[in-house]
Amino acid sequence: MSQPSGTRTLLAGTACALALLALPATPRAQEALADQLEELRRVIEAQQATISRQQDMLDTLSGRINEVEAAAPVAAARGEADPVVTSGQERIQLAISGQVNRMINVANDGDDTKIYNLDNDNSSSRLRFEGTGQVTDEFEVGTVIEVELESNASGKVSQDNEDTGSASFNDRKVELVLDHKRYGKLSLGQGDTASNGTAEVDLSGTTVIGYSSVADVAGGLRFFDDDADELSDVSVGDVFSNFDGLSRRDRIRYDTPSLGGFKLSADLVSDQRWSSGLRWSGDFGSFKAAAAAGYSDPGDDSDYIVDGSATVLHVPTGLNFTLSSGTKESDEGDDPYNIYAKAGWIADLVSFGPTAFSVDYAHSENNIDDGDEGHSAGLQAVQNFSDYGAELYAGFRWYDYDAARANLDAEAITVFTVGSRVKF
Amino acid sequence: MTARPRSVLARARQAALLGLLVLLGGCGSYEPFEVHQPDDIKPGAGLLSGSDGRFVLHRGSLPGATTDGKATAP
Repeated sequence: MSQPSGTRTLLAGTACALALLALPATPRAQEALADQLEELRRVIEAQQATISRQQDMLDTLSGRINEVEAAAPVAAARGEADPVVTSGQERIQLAISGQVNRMINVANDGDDTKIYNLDNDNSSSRLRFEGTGQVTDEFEVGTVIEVELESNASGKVSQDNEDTGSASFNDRKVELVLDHKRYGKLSLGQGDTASNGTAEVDLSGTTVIGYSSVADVAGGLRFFDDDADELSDVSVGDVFSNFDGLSRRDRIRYDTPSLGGFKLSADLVSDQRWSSGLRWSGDFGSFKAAAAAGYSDPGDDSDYIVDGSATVLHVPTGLNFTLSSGTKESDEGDDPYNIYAKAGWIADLVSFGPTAFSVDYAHSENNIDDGDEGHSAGLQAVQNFSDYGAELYAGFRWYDYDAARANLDAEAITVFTVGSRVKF
Repeated sequence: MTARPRSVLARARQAALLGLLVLLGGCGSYEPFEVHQPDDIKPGAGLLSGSDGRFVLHRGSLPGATTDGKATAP
């Protein structure tokens, strides 16, 4: 290890002084020697002062390095690193969310049993971009772009089309939203119509595998015709509908603020259509309940669609009950309609999230021909993994179709489903 | 059996609906809550995004942001 330079200088100076003192000298020479020694002492003191200042600087720098190293992991954990995306606006937010919802159906159509790999139409796989700008404390401007990417959508896959090929993006929502706390919300673009969801209010916790639109988990499957001994041209999706208003469309929509839990909505939809909806929700502590009703002008060969639903959950026990119904006026023949009922139980059986069970039944009539009847019953179970945004579900559903036409004897379809929805 | 006039039935339905609304509106104290549609992305945490349930690419000084930089739930 090398000696510090100040120490070396001190040793050298001391040795030199001793050597000089050992020499015989005249008084004048001794005076000169004393001057030299004094000069050496000043040099040594100056060097020591310099060394002290440098040591102080080193201590300061070392302390700062330690502070930076200690703070770096905390900053990274808080997401306080330099932003990847920047904006000139201060009061805005841009967020991405999405989910993947995949399932396997084992379906028997009365003639054959097959296994299908599907994207669940109850709540499709998708990606969502949401921008929010806070204009004032009460007024917010937002944009929503939501697209779904379904590979083998359950509503399209059938016995003779088990692989629908590569998926492409479908627009679900592309809208601009102006939201004022006191004056309500105005939405422009493709999104939920005022009537969408009014037949689907449901607090059972099992909607990912079963709700009033019972056809969604296997809508593409076709009924087997026992008389003709071949697949008929009638699919599950043809027989069942919950008449849930006008779905998502290009529209301009207005929603009132919540007034005592009530919200009224109305819209003008593309192709000279319109719809309206009334929603209510209330949390009473032990009970939670919600209800909705919709009235729509579908603009085709029908004057109106009327639908509604209601659900109630007893929070302490987890018991819940849901009803839904809808009808569509028909200019020709009998009006098609649907009735749906569900009973469920939400339990805390495991520590990582609630477990929900339900049983339901749906009855549809006149969806294809006057006198047609569709019956469906289902059992559902959903296990939530709350901290991870994941659900694991399983279900069993039975579809029966009593065709009015004489030459069709449809076999019942049974479907066992297991799958998972993961929000990322 | 003679069918009732349609207007009477329509009025009965309207009265029933009105009665239901009055009943719901007047049955004690309650708090409204957000009802999510079955086909919507479920609210709450995400597998990768954590408790936020979404990846916030940019967050300005929006009201509602907490002191640790996290926004309130959507």
